[in-house]
Amino acid sequence: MTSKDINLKRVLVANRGEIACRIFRTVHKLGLTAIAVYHHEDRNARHVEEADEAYELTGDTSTAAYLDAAQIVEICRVEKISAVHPGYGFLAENADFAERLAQAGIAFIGPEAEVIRTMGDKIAARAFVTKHNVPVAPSVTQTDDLDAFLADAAKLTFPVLIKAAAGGGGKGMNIVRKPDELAEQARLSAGEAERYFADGRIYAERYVEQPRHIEVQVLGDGAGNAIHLFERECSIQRRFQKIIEEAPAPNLPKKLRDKICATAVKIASASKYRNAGTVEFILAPDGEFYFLEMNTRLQVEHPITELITGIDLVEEQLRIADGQSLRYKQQDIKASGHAIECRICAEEPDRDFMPATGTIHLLRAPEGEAIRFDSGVHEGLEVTASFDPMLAKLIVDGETREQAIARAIEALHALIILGVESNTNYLARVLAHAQFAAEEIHTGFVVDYADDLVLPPLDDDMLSAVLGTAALALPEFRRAAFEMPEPYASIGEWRN
Amino acid sequence: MTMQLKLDDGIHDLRIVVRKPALIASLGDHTFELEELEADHGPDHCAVTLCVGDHKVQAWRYVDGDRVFLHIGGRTFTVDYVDPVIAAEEVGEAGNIIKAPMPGIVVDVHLEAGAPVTTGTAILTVESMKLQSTIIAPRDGHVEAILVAPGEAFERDAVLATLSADEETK
Amino acid sequence: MPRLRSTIDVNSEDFRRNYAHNKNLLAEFREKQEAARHIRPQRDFDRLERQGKMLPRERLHKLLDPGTPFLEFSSLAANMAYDGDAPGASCITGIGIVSGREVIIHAGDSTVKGGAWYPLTIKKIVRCLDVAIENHLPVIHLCDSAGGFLPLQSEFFPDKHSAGRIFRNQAMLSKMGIKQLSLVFGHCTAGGAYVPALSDYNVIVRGTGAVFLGGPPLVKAATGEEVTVDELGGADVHTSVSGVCDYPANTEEEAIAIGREIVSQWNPSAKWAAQCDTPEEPYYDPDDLYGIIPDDIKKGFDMREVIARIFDGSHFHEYQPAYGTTLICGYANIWGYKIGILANNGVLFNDSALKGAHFIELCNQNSTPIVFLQNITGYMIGKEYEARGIAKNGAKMIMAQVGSHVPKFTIMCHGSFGAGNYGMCGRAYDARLLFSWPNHQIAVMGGEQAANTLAEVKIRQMERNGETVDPQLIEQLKQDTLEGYLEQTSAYYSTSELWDDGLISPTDTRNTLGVAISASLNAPLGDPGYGVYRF
Repeated sequence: MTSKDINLKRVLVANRGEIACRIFRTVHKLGLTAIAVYHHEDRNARHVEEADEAYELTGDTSTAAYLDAAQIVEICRVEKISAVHPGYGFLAENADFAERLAQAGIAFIGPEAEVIRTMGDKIAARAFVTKHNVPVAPSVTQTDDLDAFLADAAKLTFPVLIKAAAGGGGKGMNIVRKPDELAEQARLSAGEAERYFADGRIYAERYVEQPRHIEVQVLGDGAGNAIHLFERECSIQRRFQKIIEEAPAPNLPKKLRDKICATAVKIASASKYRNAGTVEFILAPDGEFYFLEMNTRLQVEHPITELITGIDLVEEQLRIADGQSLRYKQQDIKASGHAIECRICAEEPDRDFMPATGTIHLLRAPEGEAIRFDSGVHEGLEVTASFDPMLAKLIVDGETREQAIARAIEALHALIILGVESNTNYLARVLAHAQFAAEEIHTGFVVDYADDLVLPPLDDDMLSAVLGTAALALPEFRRAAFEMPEPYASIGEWRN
Repeated sequence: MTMQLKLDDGIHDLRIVVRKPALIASLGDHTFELEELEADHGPDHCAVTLCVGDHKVQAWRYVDGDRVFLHIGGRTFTVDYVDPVIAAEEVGEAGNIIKAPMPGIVVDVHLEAGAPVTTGTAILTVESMKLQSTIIAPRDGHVEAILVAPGEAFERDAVLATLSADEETK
Repeated sequence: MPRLRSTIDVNSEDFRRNYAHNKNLLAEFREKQEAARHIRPQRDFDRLERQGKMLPRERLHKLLDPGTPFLEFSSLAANMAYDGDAPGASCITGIGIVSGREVIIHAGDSTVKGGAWYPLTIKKIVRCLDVAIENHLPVIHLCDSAGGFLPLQSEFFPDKHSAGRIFRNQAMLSKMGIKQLSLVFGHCTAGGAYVPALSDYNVIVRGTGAVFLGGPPLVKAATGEEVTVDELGGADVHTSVSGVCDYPANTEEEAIAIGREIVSQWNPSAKWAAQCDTPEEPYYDPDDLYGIIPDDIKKGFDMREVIARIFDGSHFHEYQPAYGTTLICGYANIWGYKIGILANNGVLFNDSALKGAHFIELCNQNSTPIVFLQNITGYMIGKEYEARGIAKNGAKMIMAQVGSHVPKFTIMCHGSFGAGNYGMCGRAYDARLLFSWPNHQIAVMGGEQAANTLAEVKIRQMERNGETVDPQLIEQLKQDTLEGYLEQTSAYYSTSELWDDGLISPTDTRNTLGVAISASLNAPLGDPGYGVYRF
């Protein structure tokens, strides 16, 4: 493949971490120039290293820098960037950013600003899909008046879920089980939404018990043509954040699957959706499903779709942004096998998922044909509290779900990250759980089975292995153990 | 002398029983042989194969000063060497030091150095993940120093403030 | 070196009888040792716990390098004195390894009368400091003593080897450049204050450690001044004002940790290069020793069987195997160290004495340390032997032995009677260390011989005075003598009085000698030279 058939030669990724690296891979595959932006803190980051060119963003904090649309647009203008891929997070669903780029004649690899405004906003999107007869969970939209919101929300059937209108990733999200907790939780959510998204609007919706989170990958050409690339099961979550995703969704009857996928296509088509997007649904145990939201960007978990369909989603994104029509018809999309993604996060699952920080001293990714390791980190990197704790994604596939699970567990055990605590072993414990194998999953899985997922205590042999291995690395112990002269080395702890 | 090693929140006493012909160590009542069979060394890390008791152990190891990071059997461990003098000093100072229970950011500082406190007095408010929590005085005394400022990020176990003992009344 | 060939039949009736007998002795020994080390009235443990103090042996355990030996001296000192009120003579002494260095440890045992010094306590402390001087070993004092046991002051205060000798020895060590460290855990009162004051490094524990010449009650009585222990001699006073101590510690653990740090700063002493091979376990099982040592002091046994169960590979190069056969001489290795052995295999004759003197000279010529294995009933007496000069031959052995510049070690394997004790490096002869087995007996002559001798003297005296000899009276005299002997010849009496450096089990002999020899090499070899031999 050469770059001849793509006119967008200089592709800037307005992001960092694994997603920037992953996008660069396709950019390079297509023979295009990969351009990074970075904050001073990230000057040694892997995405900077892998880019062909890199431009520094200034900003008080690194987060502020990556959110600085004006600065990035200016770099694009000066450096003659053809297209900007926003990745996920940061400016990925920022309509103003898309608009500014469009005004500067730079392709935004994503939907039109207007579509972002409609579909990227949870409240607007719900209104839009309701118009198209797609079911949504009963909900209350925030007015300017918090008291009015509280009064309306109190009328919902509890439990109720409060979410930030502008955000995702679980930020600002809270379950309220009793009406009298509503006011306080709403304020907490609004405060957090304000801090993370600079937009304090929140909304509330009925919370479905034991729901599954099913999402559908779609591609649209912006002219009303859209296809789906099947669904992803994203029910394994902690604190409303996905940690394990798989495709296809297990235990999903074909009829229901077809209906969900068709609904997603309907929404994409109706919204004249351009580029890659994801339609998220809540699937209740009774088979009812509700539109949840649309993510107008590439998802973290897109690789599992790539593995089962064999399609490089970033390449399709670039082609669509280049103005090309969809290369596939719906009937061309075939899924085979089973893929699982594990999000490797710097956190301590056994201490209530407390974020972990530190320096990645040693990183060894498992290798194998069925293993894909999307990582934005490298040895020597200091993981701080200022970013999302996700370090990397470990994606495996297999012919069957069973095989994929087994491979994922093996790969997780072979993934070595030293210096920062991670959830690697915890993810393996989830995958190894009998109910997971039995396809009995829902978004409350890790809470319901928390007792089973506790780290087993170390037995004497294991404790000796751990402490013995550590001791042999310590100079104090080595001196004590190996520098003792005879006859004391042989006599040992003898008393007369 | 016993070598003290900290794993998670537990302190373990590792003793050498005899060194030759084989190194035998003990942890409490559990006695085991310890031998490094193979080590593929980097500058400060290695993939090691050890014989611990009757078991062959494959491990990845990285040493950072008094701290050893390990990966054994799909699990990672952080083991700290407890320097006996420093540990004893900390015992003496316990109660004078207020440490961060988790990494986070300072939201608010309620007191200044010199302020008198009684057990339970709020000194700082910090936030980590979605939780705001109040850091309180563990005992009566005076604030000796506040070592962080609002907005400042800190790691787990970082010293946030120190207390000084009240002058004894004579 | 050839391996000794044992002829012991472990299934013989003799062996089994000896084995049962000696194992009983061992059990009795271990029981006494356990009691002396660990059995105290509960109130003493309670008191220490109240004070937040560790037991003295806990301190020791934390101080020593892990997985290294501690050769304890005189664990049963004072076991037959003071009605058993001072187990271990209220202190613990021995050679241990701290931060990789061989050191003498002297620890007060505050579980015994607050660590009060009895006369035998002084003897034990002075002895361990003598060992330090002779072997150039640094000393670590773990101070926790209430001071002298006043009711017995006349027995521990005034004499040459009384309490003053402790401080004299400390000063002597310092003069020799041998380091001393005191860890002050408890009170160091009066003379006890000199222990840290004469040490090079001192660590003192806040709250419990205190050093003063006169405690608060004495101050009150003398000057009327009221003062607390802490104000008078606590950690802060001494580390920030008086300069008596160097390092304050918040806890005993910290004091020990600081102490270990201090020792690790010391330059390890250069040992003299004794001939050394790779250590090898004895070929024959040391446990057989219990079946080899007879169940009766009067029964003889072949000392080669003992040698075969202590020394490396059971190898032995015998010198003059056909001459003076009642004294076995030869070379062996122990824990790799080359040593010369003199071992009794019967009464010493003229030729055995000459052979011994000659072999001692050979060892000195070769810079080979000497191990004496005593089982001696004495030099042969009688007209023929006197005529052949047994006295001057025995004197040659003493002369050679005293003139030795190589380190000497003595093990009391069985009997030690009469002048043979002298020639074979008994207590008076500066063996670097001398240990006894529980079956050991010692006296100027055997109990029965003494009883008979005394009876003989009495009969002659009565006959001279024209009295009628009353056989009943004579029998009573014999019985009394024998009983007195029985108590005083026993190993327990011997070790109670510090006539040795402690009892050891026969199977511990190998390790004991290993530690003792290794430690002895710290002192440089002296200059060779002998006195005048009477030829």
